[in-house]
Amino acid sequence: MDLSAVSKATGKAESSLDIAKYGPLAVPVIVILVCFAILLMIVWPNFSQALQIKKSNTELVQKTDSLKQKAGILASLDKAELEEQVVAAEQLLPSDKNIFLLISQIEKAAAGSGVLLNRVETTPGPVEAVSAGQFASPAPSGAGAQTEIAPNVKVSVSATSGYSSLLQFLNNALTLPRVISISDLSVSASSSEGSSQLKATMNIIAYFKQLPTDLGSIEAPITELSDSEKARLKQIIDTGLATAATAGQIEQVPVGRADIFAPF
Amino acid sequence: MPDINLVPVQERATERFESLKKRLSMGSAILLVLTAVFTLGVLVFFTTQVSKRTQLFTQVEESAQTINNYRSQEEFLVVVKDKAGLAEQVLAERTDYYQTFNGFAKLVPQGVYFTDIKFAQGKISMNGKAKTSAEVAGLVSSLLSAEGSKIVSNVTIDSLAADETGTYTFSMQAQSAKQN
Repeated sequence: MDLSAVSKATGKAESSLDIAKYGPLAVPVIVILVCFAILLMIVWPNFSQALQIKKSNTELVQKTDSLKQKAGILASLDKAELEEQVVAAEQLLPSDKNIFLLISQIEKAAAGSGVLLNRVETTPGPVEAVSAGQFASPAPSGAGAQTEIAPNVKVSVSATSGYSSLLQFLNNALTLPRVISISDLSVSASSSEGSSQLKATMNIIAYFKQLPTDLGSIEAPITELSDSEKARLKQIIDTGLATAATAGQIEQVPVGRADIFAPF
Repeated sequence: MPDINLVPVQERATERFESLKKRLSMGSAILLVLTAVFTLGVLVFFTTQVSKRTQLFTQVEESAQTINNYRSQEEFLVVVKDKAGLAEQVLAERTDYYQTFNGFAKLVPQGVYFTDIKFAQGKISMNGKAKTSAEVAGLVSSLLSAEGSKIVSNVTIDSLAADETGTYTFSMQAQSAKQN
C-alpha cells in the first residue's frame, strides 16, 4: 500500500499549520514597522524643520528688538531740535570747502583781536564740493594725523601783533563755529630791539564733510549724540549763529561796474 | 516511549511562542503610544514655532513702519552724528595753542624771554634770552616739572651761550605733549 500521498498531505497540512501559527505576530510587527516609518519619514523631518524655525525665530527676536530699540530712539527725538542741530552741525563741519566764509571768519577774528594780517594765502582748488572721500589739498607736513580725519582746506596766515593780541587771535580762531586746527605755528619777536611786536605765521586747516547720501538699510543701527557732541552743538545754537538766516552766509557786496579795468 | 516526552516539548514551544507574542504586542503598543506622543509633541512644537514666527514677522513689519514714519528724524540724526562725531575727533586731537602759550607763561622764569618759538611736526623749537644761567636752569626745571610735562617732553638744549653783558642766549627743542 502506497502511503506517500498521505504523508505528503500530512506534511502540507503541518507546514500550513506552522505558518498560521505565526499569524498573530504579524499585527505587532506591522505596527512596529509603521511606527518606525512614521518616525523616520514624517516626525523627524518635521522636527528638524521646527528646530530650524526656532533658530530663525531667535534671529528674528534679535532683529525685532533692534528695530524696536531704533524706533524707540527715533520716537524720542525732537524734530525741531534736530533741525537746529543740523544747521549747527553744518556750521561745525560744512558740506563743502566754504573757503570765503572761512577767510571772512579769520579776518573777523583778526579784527576782533587787534592782529594785523600781513598775508592770507590759500589754494582751495575746485570751488565745487568734492566727494566725501576726496581730500581738498595734500596733507600738510605739519598737520600730522589730523589731515587724515576729513577733507580739509588750508589757509596760510602771516600776522603781526602784540603778544596778548596774538593770544586773543588764537583763541578767537580756535573758538570759531567751524572746526579748524592750527599747524606749523611760528612766532618770533620783531627784529627791532625794544619792540613788543611779534610776527606769527601759521597754517589754519579747516575741515569739511559732505552730507551722507545713503541712510543704509532699515536695520542699520543708529547712534545717539554723545553728551559732548550735544553740548558743542548747543553752544553753537546758543550763540545764535545757527539760525537759518545767518548760517553759512558771507557779506553781500554791491555788483555792477561801468569800467571793469578801472582801479577801485 | 518517545511519544511520552513529546508533550512537554510542545508545551514549552507553545509557551515560548506565547511569550514572544505577548512581548511583541506589548512592545508594539508602547512604540505606538510613544510615536503618537512624539508626533503630537512635534506637531505642537512646530505649530508654536510657526505661530511665533508669524508674530515676529508682524512685529518686524510694525517696527519697520514706525521707523519709516520717523525717516526725516533718522536722516537728521545721521547727518548730525556724522558731522558732530568727526568734529569731536578733530577737536580732541588738535592743539589748543592759546592754552599752550598760557601754560608756558606760567612756567617761564621772569628773567627769561623768547625770541622765537616754532611748532612743527610735533616738535617745538625755542630760542630766547636769559639774564643768568640760573634763569635758564629755572626754565629747564619748569619744563621738566609735572606742569611742564603736560606741554612738552624730551627737552633738549641745543646751545647756550653768554655774551659780554652776561646775558645768556639759548636754543632748545622739545617734543610737544600733544602731537600737531
